[in-house]
Amino acid sequence: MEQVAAKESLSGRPHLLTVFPPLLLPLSAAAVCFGLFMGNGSRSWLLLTLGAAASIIAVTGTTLAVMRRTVCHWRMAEGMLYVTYGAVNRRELGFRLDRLLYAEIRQNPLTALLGCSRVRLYAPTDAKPFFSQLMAEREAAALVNRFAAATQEKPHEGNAHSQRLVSGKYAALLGAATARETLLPVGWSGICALYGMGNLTMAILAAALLTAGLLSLVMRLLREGGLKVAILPEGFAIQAGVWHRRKYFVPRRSVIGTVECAGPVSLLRGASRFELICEGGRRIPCMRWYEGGCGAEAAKRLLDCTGLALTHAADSAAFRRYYVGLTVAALLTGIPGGLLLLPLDGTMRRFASAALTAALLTALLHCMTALRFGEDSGIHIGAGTLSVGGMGLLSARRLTLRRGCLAAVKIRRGLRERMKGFCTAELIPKGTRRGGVCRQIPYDKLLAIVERFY
Amino acid sequence: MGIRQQCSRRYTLLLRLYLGLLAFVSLCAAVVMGVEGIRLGAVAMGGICVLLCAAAFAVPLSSGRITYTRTGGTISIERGSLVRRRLIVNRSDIRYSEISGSPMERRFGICTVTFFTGGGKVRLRGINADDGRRLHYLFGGEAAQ
Repeated sequence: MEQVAAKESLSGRPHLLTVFPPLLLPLSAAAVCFGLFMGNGSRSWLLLTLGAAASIIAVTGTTLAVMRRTVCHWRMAEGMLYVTYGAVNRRELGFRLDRLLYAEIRQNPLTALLGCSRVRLYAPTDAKPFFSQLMAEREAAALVNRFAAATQEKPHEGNAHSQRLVSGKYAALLGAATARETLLPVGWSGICALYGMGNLTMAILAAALLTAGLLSLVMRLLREGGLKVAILPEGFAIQAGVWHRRKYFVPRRSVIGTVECAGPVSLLRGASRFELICEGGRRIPCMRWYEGGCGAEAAKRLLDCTGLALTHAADSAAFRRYYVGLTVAALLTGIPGGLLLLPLDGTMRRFASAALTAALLTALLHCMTALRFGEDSGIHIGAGTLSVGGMGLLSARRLTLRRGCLAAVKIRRGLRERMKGFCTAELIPKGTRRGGVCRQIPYDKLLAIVERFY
Repeated sequence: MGIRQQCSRRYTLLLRLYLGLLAFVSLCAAVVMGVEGIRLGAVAMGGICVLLCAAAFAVPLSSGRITYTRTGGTISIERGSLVRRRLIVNRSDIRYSEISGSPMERRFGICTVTFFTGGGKVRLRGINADDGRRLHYLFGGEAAQ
């Protein structure tokens, strides 16, 4: 990123293009209505009224847009961003750059042709951007570069190897989501075609589903293929999007943790989804899918660069014993009752069959959960990080937090857990109400971990 | 201990003006539409009387009870006439602040300051424009660095 002198101030106004959208659409509608009115022999008053209303909307909208553009002014200087906007209700904002969450530059084909882009700046407080203005491309790049320069902090101790610009594609071209989005409509189209042989309606439906599935595949390939992440000393630069090209700059200090999760198909393929999270639980669009081998290596580099290195420490034996106990309980509860009632006739027999099936299924689920719980589940303390999560039956999820970003710990202890000295812990990041859950953690061990890390 | 400060009296005047205008518009609308019958007339006049009473009594009670106190690192806002609410916000928790004003508020020299924190926003309405800028500078601007 360019180095911009900190003392130079940067200022600007919205692009002239912002005036035209409120004018063009209602004006077009008015032209259509008046044209139909003049061309229509019966002189429809409804068309005249609609045309007049559209004209008034065009004039009012354009006037407000011009006033907004005249009033709106932004200036970035000495670590602060000053924004004035509002056509009728005037607003003035003073924002410290070191408290900005991340910046986005967005461009669609039309704005790309006209040489302008939209800059959006996000604060930790709202999901909506607090600053969103259309400006010339060069101005947009200069603004984001200044923001990046203002947020530069000392490199993390563990990042000595990552201070140079590193870029690469981390997204898989065909992840599990692609398979799910494609196979489902294609599968339904096949069923429709088989079921409705000779039926025109079913044939049309099958063709529509097939088209939707293939389009989804193409869009996914383009989208994932266009995703690029660059790890910089001051943060992350991300480029994404096919139609709407988006570029993000995320300062390193904005990232309070990471979330890694995978569904059942992803687990089979050895892939997972990886996202950066910020204060308030906001997720920054980042690497979505990656394959096992190179993806794991890329994740490790990203984690090292963010200072979120993982070490390994978990206790899974208690978890396995717990779920084995649940399995045995389900079997002991369901099987004897079912077998006793099975010889009976009528409703009782059906009830007995259902109870037996439910008991066997429950036992199977608990057993599979126990087997799936691996050594990487539980709570881990790393170099300045805390990680919680693990493997479930059908999915896996892990939340990793930077030191100082843990807001609260919720501890739940049932009767059996209290007797055995275990608990269920939910670690909640700053600004959210839900966090990462870990079951069957020894209570005193959890307290020691939290005390060390909190 | 900081000094407790009240909102501007011009804010009370502005609110009374809005309610009076609303009552006047309602009266004109009732006359133009030709409200007939005792019941409809009574309802219309009753509504207008409620608006006028609110302008006369309720507005000063509510707006006059909005106060704020600024200490070294916090701002405390109290409001409400029947149920009193007090908000205490630390300077370190304020991410940024905003000053806003409608055309009428700007004419009367008053503004609304909004402090944005990690958990939501805190609004302070009807304060003098100068006081608003001072709060904006101290809590959300350069002085907060």
